Amino acid sequence: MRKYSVWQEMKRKKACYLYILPFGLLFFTFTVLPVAISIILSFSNYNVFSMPDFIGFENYINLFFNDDIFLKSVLNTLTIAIVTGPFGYIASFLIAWMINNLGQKIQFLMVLLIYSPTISGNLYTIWAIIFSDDANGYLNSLLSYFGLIDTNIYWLTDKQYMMTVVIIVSLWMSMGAGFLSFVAGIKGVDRSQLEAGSIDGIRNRWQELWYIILPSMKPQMLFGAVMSINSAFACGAVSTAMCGMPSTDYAVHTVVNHLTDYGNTRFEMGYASAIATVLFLAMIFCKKAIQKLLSKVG
Amino acid sequence: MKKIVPVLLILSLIASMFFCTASAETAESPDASLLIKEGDKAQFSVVIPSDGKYTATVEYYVNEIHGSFIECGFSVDGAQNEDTQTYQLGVTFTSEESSFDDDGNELTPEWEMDEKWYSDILSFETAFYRETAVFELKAGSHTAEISMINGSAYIKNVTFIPFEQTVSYDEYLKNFKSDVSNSKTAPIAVQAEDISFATSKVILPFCDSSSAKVTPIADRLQVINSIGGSSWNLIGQKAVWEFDVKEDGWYSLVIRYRQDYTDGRATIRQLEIDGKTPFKECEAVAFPYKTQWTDLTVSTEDTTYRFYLEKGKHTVSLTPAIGEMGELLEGVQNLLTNLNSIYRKIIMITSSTPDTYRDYRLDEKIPDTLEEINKCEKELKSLIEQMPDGTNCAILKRTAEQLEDMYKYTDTVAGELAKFQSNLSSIGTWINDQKTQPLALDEIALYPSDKEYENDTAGFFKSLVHSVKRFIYSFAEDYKFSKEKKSIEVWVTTGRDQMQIIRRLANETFTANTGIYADLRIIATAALLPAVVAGIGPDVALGEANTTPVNFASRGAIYDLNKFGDTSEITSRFTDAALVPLRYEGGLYALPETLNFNMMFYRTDIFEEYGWTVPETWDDVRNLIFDLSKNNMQFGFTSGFTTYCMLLAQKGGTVYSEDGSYSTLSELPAIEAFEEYTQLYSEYKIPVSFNFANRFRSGEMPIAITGYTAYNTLEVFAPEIKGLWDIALVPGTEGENGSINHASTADGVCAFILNDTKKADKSWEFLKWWTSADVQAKYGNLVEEKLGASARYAPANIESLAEIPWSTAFYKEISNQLQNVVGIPEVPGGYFTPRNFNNAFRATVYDAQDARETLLQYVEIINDEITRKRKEFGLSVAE
Repeated sequence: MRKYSVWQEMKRKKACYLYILPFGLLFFTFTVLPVAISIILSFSNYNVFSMPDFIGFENYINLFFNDDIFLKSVLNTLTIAIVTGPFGYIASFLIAWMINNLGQKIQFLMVLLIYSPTISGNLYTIWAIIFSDDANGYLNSLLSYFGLIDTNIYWLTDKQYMMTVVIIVSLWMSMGAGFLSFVAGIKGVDRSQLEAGSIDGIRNRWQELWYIILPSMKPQMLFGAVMSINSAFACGAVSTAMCGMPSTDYAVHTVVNHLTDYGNTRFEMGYASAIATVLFLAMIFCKKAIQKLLSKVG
Repeated sequence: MKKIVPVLLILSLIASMFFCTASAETAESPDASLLIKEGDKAQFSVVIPSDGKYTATVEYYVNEIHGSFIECGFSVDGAQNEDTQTYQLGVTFTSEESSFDDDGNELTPEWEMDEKWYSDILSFETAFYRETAVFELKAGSHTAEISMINGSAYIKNVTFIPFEQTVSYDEYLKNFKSDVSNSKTAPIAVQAEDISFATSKVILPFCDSSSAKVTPIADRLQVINSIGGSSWNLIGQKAVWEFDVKEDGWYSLVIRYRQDYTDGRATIRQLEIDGKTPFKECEAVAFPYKTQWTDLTVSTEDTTYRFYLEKGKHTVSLTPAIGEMGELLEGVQNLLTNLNSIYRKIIMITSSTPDTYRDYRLDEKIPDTLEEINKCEKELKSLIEQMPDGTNCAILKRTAEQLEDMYKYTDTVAGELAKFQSNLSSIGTWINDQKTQPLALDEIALYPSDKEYENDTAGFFKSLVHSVKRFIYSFAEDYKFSKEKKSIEVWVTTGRDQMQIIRRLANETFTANTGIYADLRIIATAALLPAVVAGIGPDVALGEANTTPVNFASRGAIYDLNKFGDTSEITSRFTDAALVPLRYEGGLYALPETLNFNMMFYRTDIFEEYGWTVPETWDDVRNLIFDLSKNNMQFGFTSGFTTYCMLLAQKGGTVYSEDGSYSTLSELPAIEAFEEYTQLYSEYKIPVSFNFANRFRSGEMPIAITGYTAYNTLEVFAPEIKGLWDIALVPGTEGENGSINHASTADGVCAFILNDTKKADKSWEFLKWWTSADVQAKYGNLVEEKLGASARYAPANIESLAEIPWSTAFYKEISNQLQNVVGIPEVPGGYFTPRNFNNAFRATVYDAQDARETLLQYVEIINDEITRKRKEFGLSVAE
């Protein structure tokens, strides 16, 4: 068989490329290009208004060796990610699996209920009212009603409590797109396989889950994992909405918050780009690791 | 017609005109010696021929006014009628000729006050009705005294006329013998928008293009075709139309109106013909709830009222009134005041968050209050019974039931308290709802009584054609204000209503005078930066945060206003404090639009009840906090960097060094202020976080320091405490020489010119126009007319602040405080200051860290950031 160069290969299959052109253009302009530009800018000093000037690795050196708050934000992000990521992921899967055993109508209702916190947009700000610092806030007045506290707790501004609050809210929201894909994946498992399994000696639901359902929905698992990593790393909106920007002593300052702080407040786009690049690489690395892990399933 | 010859006598004005003004006299303006200025008095002597009841007519001249009337006190022989009753001397407003924009859309006309001699019967207004003042006088000579409370006027004389009771309809008919048939006479119709004059500027003409029933029909262009609406709702807002009657005879009155504002309830107008209520029944003409334009003939169910009019000019006027509900509402209002004080007496024992499992033994501790609850309940029930049928008074019934329970089962009172408070608030809202009398009018017609009435409003097909036309035209009209090349682009961050008002003002006074078009667009604040970076920004940006100018200026993105020749002249419009955050390295980069500074709000009823005085200094505040805590109440002081800066400024400290290269928060005054500030929260335990409006209205927090625009919130959100609160200067710090420094801090929004503009001079013209006193005042008033008191504007322009319709007492306090406002400068890296201040504050208050050490530690971080930023911009760096 003849070997083609890339260009010749593309020419040969030009109809295919034509088909993906509309999306390809949009994807390139609004996703690939910004990422590329951001990586380039991360080597520069750029104040948004004037031209960027190239400064090599200085941003990265500052980031890792001079910026305490960055390290703190990495720690915060990891804390939130480690608690909410795996928990959300496993819970999503288990709930999807359980729902699958319910009747058709209840299934629909349950999916809607569990997914609703995610589609309701910024509804999590309702938690800011529940956890209000005000002595008349819901939680504070409830606790004092039962005599558990005698003065109000500053849920959103006291370093002691802020992280817990942010994690609770993040958990509440963690049934995201991954959950939906799990529901679809479980439904997509071939029934004949389950039957064959039971003939071949599957004894209980757990074995069925491990040997048949999980292996046949690896793509959905990966998708769910990527989504959950994404949301875990990109968390920041919750802490801003709950604890303000920046939070007291950066107690729930995440990497994304740090990025916005530099980009929007201080207009240091080069430095912000460096943060974004680091975040981007970390996400890719995690995705690869998860892929490895998932290959061991089943 | 029974004619009454007014017995009138007046006499010259003697005596005490205390001064004259040196103002130049024009041909029309009255003798300067007649002028009575605000706060002054004048006396008139009068001879009364016989004993009886009299009304007083005052002849006066007004040439300038805040709001729509002048308040005065009036007494005969020194005896004040009804303790401190104030009276109103109204003025009238006429709208100018209609004008059109370039596309032919009719613009809303503006109102001008009529500068002329008025002759008005003295009347007074409570919240619920307006009444003619009646004086019982004995024969002989008397002295009448007028004192100006709010506003100034020239007063020529006072006439006493015997008081006449308004007759009933039957008697009215007897007065006219004529029974000439006028079935041949043509009806006389007047478009309501062609109003002759009104006593309030809020009776706005408008364009209703939604219906074909309104005349003239507006389908393509904007045509002003109706008047009034939701803003024409308060008693005393009289609108007057003139009719030219061609033949003597009996007429009935047909009014085309729409009243879809009150959710089922009819609204009421008092009808006057030639300035006089013809008969009793006209005092309350009801306009039932109708969502469509409807013709109403003034009548009862079985008789159409007939009015006898002679040939010639006549006026018809309609004034919002409350009718028979007025007294009932007043009763409920008084009851509400009592209930509020009962609530406060209960929380004195239980606190506002009581333990529901505890029996507070209220029957032993406050038996009188419980009796009062019983009395209130009885009173409320009798009021409910008197309400006219169909009145929605569910909230009153609910409260009555609750009061009954509270009286019967005293041990449950504590648990019911929250619900009780929210019921009180609902009653406040209910009273306000019942009080408003909105109405929109399209046409008023005098219809010959003997003629068969023909309804000529559009039917189904006419309406259908109208709708189709409107739909088609919606594709044809270009709403973009101007396609001209001469225009400057202005981005505003306000709401749509506000933007339309700016557009209208710009259209009428800016473009007309300068020939420059302002192309206004609404944008989200976040859109400005990307647009400027991409080089597609506007020429002028309005409504930007005070922190933006220095941020943009340090990166060269904004125009230095000092480059214009007349800048210093323009900046004198503002207090210096308002300009401080807009300066950077010797340049001025924006002009302030609004200025919202901190003031102290307090509940006059509570302070009176406990005999407290309003604190002058922080020492007074600390003493007051003890008294407050004893009664389960709190002192409100919004925590944060800006309020700390108040204390800082009062102690003579600053936030940054002169050149902005380092923070001076590590210096002695700053540390002292910080210690004092954190002490209030940590030792005096004032709340860090609270909802001001909620706690203020419940009486839990009878005194609080917050931005003075909280006035707006209270006006709308807490109607039940209307008139029970006041504002004062913020507490001060006593200086070494004994004077008290009442410094306060402010925030606001500003307007600037972008550096990329090619039309700097035109943009500057626009900024000068926009921040001028006249335009800012007009804008503030128009916004308030359109959106109500909740949208009251807080202009930075000193002169226009006086034009906002504050009551005199409020305005005095506000302008006093304005003179004590200090600005907080913005510096590169300054965003680190509030954030680290918060960190220091929370470490001190929450974690009980040492105030001084904590502050010093965080100031170091602030200074590091400032130094870093200054290096970036190539500025000198502090050692």
